[in-house]
This record gives sequence, structure tokens and C-alpha cells, in this order.
Amino acid sequence: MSPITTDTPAVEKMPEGSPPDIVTLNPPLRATHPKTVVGIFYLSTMACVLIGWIYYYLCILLPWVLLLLPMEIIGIAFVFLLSSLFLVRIAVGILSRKYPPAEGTFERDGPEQRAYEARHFLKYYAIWLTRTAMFPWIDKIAYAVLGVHTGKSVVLHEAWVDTELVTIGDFSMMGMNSTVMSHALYQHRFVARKTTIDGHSIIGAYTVVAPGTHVGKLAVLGANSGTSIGEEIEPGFLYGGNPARKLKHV
Amino acid sequence: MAPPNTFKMGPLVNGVFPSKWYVLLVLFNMWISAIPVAIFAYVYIGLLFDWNPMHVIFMNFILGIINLLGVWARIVSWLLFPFALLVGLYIYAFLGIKVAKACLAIETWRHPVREGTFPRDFSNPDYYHFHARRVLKKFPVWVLGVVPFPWMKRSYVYNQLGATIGKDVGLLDSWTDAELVTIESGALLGRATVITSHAFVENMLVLRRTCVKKGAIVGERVRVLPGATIGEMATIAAKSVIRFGEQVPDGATFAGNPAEIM
Repeated sequence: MSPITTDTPAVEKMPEGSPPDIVTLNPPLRATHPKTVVGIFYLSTMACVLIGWIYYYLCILLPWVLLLLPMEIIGIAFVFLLSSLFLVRIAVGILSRKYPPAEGTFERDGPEQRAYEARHFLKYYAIWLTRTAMFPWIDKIAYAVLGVHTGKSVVLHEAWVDTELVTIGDFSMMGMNSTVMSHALYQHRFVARKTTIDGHSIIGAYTVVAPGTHVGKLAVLGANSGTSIGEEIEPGFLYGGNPARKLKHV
Repeated sequence: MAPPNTFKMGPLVNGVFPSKWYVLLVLFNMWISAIPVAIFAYVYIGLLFDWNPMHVIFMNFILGIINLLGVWARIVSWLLFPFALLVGLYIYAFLGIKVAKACLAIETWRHPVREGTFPRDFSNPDYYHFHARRVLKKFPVWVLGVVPFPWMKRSYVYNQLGATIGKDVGLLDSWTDAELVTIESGALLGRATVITSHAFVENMLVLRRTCVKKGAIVGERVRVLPGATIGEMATIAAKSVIRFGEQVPDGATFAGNPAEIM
């Protein structure tokens, strides 16, 4: 039926006592670490102010430097992006010291999910910025810095790829508005599984790749399909539908 | 996240102008909300560079105080530069929302928001004012989409523009209509989820109230059609479609297209 419910992994770690079927209203999800993001915004803007001052004095000394104004503007944009990115990397490194990204099935609203949310909030900011910039495909740099391994010539700037526990091989393509997930919320569980996409595979437009999926080499997932948790997509085959089924060899 | 650049987020608002006068209204909104930002920028740039070319008396007073305080006051005003950028952006977005809200008040006074099925024709007042309201909402929501922080984008702007959104609802990644929608506190909306209160069916426009109750989880890319109600603590699995007027009971799990109880 649904990609989430067909193959729900067994609960490995739950609180004492049997969990109720319907949990009471949990402490609601909220944006964690907004102060950190404001601090990162502050520091990277001050880096831009510094560059601006240097340029201003260069213009006073050598008036022809004014001709480089367009490059200065682009340079300031990139200084802002890259400094935010590296500050986010440092903050995420500090955050994941206590709860490093780990696979497994956890209690909903437990410390693992909170730690995930905190990391995600920071990473979201960095990747949002790179995609709003004039060259959205540089988000591969952001993914590389934040710890997702992407291979050569991977296209993912029109899709959302989770920022941890994901590996993407060479020459893979993510379709428009498709999603590659490595975590899911299911009733009282928080599931985090490693998702691997091997080389030369194509994820169609509007497709959801559920956590734990392994997409083989040269495989094709059709448009608007969805995989289930822990599904194995065999190499070289075309899959389609929701949940995804094997259609033919390509 | 980050809907890709081809899929910008916000309330579902399109660009169908029912009358050319609405272009002027939107331009008026942009103009009037930029004036306080310009005043703020004048004052702040004056603080940075000790600069008051228009000889504003109030500004002379502020600059006098800054000069009395000495070089540290100037250094502090430089150090506040990033916050000044944010203040300018948020003043612009806030006033855009308020002006749009005022325009919407006039719009709903001319013709109230009604549920029902209406012919898809501009001669019909319900259809005309439906598009008029959407056009007025577009600009402030677009401004907030450019701000790198999620704060005002959450429930505040939707509540101002006519939806009812509770506390701690993450709306960032979903597309939600900004009228006839009720989302109660603690509900979770997945990425690219579409919560609509309007639909075009053949030659008709359908407007019905859609409701997501406390603590419900709506998965990724779920399409909730007008008139549906999702009960408390219910779960909707990813990529399912909730039909017109579907009543999801409290605590139930629904999945599939069309969604059925598990």
C-alpha cells in the first residue's frame, strides 16, 4: 500500500513498558538552534563587510578598480555562501559529537530525533543558501562539506537529498522535485537508515526514495514512483509505480 | 527543504489578475512598504558614515549623540550591520503583510469568503474575488520566501492572510492555501505536501474548508483535497491523496491513492 507501511522495521529500542498505539501529544517539533543560525549569518555578513571595506579603500587608491564592481558583487555573494557553509560545518561537527548520525529505529521525539532536527536545521540553512545563489548546482560542494558523498557529475539541485547517511554514485541524476530520504517518522518511531544510490542510475521526477533503499547500478526509477523502507532496486532494471515494482530490463 | 528553484513555496497563489487595477494595488503595496525601509536605511547609513545630506534635524540630533560617545559608538554601529540588513528585510515583509491584510479586508467587505461550488467565469463574483485575494497575497509571501530564516514564514503570515494555523506547525516545505484552512497545533506537514481548500473541477471552482487537527502527521507529497478533515494524531502515509470531503478519524492511518484506512 504505502512506501512507509509495507516493510516497517522492528522496533529495536523503545522506552520501558509497551508503547501505546496512539501516543499522547508529544512535545511539538520546533526549529532548534535558531540562535546558532543567527550567529552564523552575523559572522558571514561581517566577512562580507570586511571585503567591502577592502574594496572601498582599493577604489580610493586605484580608481580603475571600480571597473571590477560586478566581480566584487559576485565575490561578496560567494564569500557569504562559503563562510556560512564552513561555519555550519563547524557547528554540525560540535553538535554531532554527542549523538553522531546513526542508523536504527528510535523512539519518536527521543534524543536521536532531536539531535537530527538540530543538525538538519543548520544544514537546511546552508543548502537553502547555495540553491538560492546564482549557480544552484554548487550545492554539491555544500553536500560534500556536510558529509554526503556524491560522485562525479551528479545532478541533484532540483531535488531534495537528505544531508546525512546518503551516498550517491557517479553520473546519477535526480529528477525534478524528487526526494532521497534517509529518515522517516512513523507513528511513535523515528527511522534512520542508510540510503545508497549506485552509479549511472536515474531517479525520475517526483519520486520518493524511502530510507534504507539501495538503488543498483544503471537502475531507473520511473516518474512519480515511491520505494518502501529497505527496498532493493536491482541493477539495470526499470522500476515504476507506488510502491515501486520491477517493470523491465533496460 | 529547499524546494528546488523551479518549485517555489508559499500559499498556492497564481498570477491570474481578475482586473488590471490589481497590478496597481500590488505596486502600491511594494511602494508603500518600501518607504519605512528607505527611512531606516537613511538613518543607518547616516550613522555609519556621519552623513546627513538632507539635513534632517532629528538625524543631526542622533549624530550629535554618536559623536559625543566617540569612536566606539561608530564601531558598534558597524558591528550591527548584519542585524540592520535583517531589520530592513523584516520591516519590508511585515509592512507588505499588513498592507495586503488591509487590502484583503476591503476585498472581503466587497465580497465575503464563501464555501461552495461556483462557475469558473470572471463574471461570477465568487470566482472574481477568489483570484483577487490570491493576487493580493502573492507579494508579501514572495518577500518572505527570500528571507533566509524560517520565522515569519511559519504560522504568522498565514494567520494574517486568512488561514488559521496553530502553534509549532512546520509549514516551510508544504504548499498550503491561505484561506479556509485550519491547521491545529503540533501538526506535522511533510515536504511538498499540498493542503488545498480550492479545486477546479471541469467548469467549476470548489471552495471548501480543510482541517488538519492536533498532532496529525501528514507525510510527504500528500495531496489533501478541499473539504477533508484529518483527525487528531492521525497518520497519512507518503504520496497518498485524501479525497474531497474525506473524514479521517482520530488516530487512524491512511495510505494510497485514493487514501484508505490501513
